[in-house]
Amino acid sequence: MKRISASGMVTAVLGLLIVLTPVVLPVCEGLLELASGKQIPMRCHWTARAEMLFGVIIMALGLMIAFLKSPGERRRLHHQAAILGAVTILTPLFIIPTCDNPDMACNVGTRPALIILGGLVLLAGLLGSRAPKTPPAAEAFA
Amino acid sequence: MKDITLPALALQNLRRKPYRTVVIGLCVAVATGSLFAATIVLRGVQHSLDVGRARLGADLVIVPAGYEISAQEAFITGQPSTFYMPADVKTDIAALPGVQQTSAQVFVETLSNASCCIGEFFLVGFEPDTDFTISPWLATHLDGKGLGPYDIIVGDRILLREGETVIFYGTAFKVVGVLERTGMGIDRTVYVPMEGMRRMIADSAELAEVTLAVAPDEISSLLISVAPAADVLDVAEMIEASLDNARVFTASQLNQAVASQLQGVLGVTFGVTAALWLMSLLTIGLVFSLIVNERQRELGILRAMGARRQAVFRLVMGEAGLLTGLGGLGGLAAAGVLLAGFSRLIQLRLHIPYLLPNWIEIIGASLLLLLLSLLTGALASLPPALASSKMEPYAAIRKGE
Amino acid sequence: MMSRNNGHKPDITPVISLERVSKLYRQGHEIVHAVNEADLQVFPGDFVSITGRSGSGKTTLLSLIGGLTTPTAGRVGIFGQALESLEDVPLSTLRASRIGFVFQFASLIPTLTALDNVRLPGLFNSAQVDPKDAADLLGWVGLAGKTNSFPSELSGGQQTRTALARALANRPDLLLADEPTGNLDVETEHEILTLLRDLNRQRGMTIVLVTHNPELARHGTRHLIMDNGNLTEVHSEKVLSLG
Repeated sequence: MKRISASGMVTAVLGLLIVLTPVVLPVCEGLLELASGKQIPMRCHWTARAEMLFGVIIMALGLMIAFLKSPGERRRLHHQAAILGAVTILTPLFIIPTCDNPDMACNVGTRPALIILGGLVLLAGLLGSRAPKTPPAAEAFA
Repeated sequence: MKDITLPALALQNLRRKPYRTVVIGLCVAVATGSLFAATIVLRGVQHSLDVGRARLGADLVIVPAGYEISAQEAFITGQPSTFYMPADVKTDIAALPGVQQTSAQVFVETLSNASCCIGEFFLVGFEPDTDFTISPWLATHLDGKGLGPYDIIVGDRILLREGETVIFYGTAFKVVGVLERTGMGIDRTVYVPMEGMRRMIADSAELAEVTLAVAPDEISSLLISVAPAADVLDVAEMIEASLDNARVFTASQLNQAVASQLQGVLGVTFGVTAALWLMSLLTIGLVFSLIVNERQRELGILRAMGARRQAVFRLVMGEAGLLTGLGGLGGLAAAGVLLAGFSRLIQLRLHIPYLLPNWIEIIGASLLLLLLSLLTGALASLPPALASSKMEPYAAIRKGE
Repeated sequence: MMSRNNGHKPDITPVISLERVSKLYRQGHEIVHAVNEADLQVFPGDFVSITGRSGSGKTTLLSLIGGLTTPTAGRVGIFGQALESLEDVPLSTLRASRIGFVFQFASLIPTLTALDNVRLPGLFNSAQVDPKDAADLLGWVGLAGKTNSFPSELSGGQQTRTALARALANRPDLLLADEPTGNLDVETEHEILTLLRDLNRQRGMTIVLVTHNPELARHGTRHLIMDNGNLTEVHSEKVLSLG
């Protein structure tokens, strides 16, 4: 019987950590005042929102990998998780960049955490998609 | 097809008990990684202080009484702070023996701007004629052009680039230079020539929302360079004696301020690391005694196959070395990634200056720590490895049955 | 290879010679005579079966022959060399190059495939075992299709065959087998003993087989009985007539 996939569980946990990142290491909290007098949140607020969404999807993918039986299905989901890992990295850098000042909360805390976690998701996805043949007695994490 | 080698066999053995391997590996990784991080942070602080002090150029700094701590804080972390004293201090001090040069600075309240992209920073007025802090730098970077009253020089962390114009308190300034990074508070400083500074202060009543209340004859600090022949502490003592409402501190006191800042955190880190290391050592020793016991029969059979005592010894030691080596490498990699990502956060949270140490130091520390983790494995597994190699093959096979 | 022979030929160097060999154990306060003044000469091409009840000292005797343990008294000679004079390195070299062991219960390394288990002795020899040779050996013991299986994926009989293939990987002159079929069904036992007999008859390999089952002695050319540490040879003609 196929056991629960370790890389799937790792991916799910990383997804959870991505969701928690803006909670543990919050982005900038101040509001910007527009010329019209309207107050809007800073750009990094939206970065955090997007990343939390990616985190939820990664978590779901990880759980599906962990409990699905078919190796082909697992590989496909691993690839999808890897792509989302890359998106997690690219978002605070290019897609929805964080604030410009490198000393602000979003840049010293949230952004590096997201990039590292995204990198780990990418790595787990790539490594998980090519599971090596190991002796049955030594299969990881029973 | 790959040859079967002892290291390959050792690696296969590690994969047999993945959970145990991962736990011990993590233990070693955390010990190695935290020691590496603590070392790099410590060296980074030292490096930053060296660069920052060289930039400051002053041997002694005089500030109003009661502001020594906040002034030091301002130099180290750029935590803005304003305080003033009468400018006539300068004439008294300049006359003292051993004082080579003095230069006054004026600190102005930071602008608190709600805008996302301009953070807090420190406005410092300096005297281009007497300054020895940034003027030497200016001399080589301005191509001999003079410095106008509205020409400013900014630290690396101020997000302004050369040629840009910026308005402070209603007065427009032009950026003519960006200083190299030091990791200290100086990086968040804007240097304004004294003339421009005074005019800005005077004009703030009319042009800015906030009126700056700094009298034209007030200064914030006086930087002093001591004559090469004179003793810095003697001069400091003399100055201290001649001042009523001002205090003097030496550049080396900045180091002490940082050291006291760091003591708590580093103490805890080193304590935890030492405890982890001891734990790893004991765990590895215990686990390898178990492993050797579990695999007695197997090791005996290897001997029957023609394995020498030395081969069995190397197999057990190799397994431990591989485990601690991989753990150590993992710890170094993780600490490196975390340090690279969060060095700014650490710096801001701990209020410490920090500049990445040079690569030779980083690589040296990594190699040393890797060696240390390998030695840990070797030391811990030495007794079981010796015992297993000394065992009579027949007894080993029999007992293991 | 040497030709097969049954009789004692004093002019040929024996593969194994035991002279009044004893092995004593201390078990609590008691002293156990596992082997008591045993004399034995095994010549090239012999297939010696040693039978006896469990606890009679058979395994200890086999271990003495293979240099896995040292005698309390007496002299053990192997390939004309006195074992007591051999240090760890030459003794290990001797085991690696000239002796093959098959143990009671298969003794395969669980993390290696059948093929790699067979190649393993090469690690301790001067030359690696050619994967093709290892595969041929597995084919010879009837496991051609199992080269990439791990021990846990093999049946008991298949594990024993793999262990036999491993014992042969270094092309030994002497095969020492300790209850190789102890935990196997009769049919599998018969198959493995046929393999041993083929080795002896076709390749002239010297074999010492230890077993608690006197029935199996008929496969050999000589039969010895171990009883309470005492070794006695059953007359050769009797053995032959049984075969």
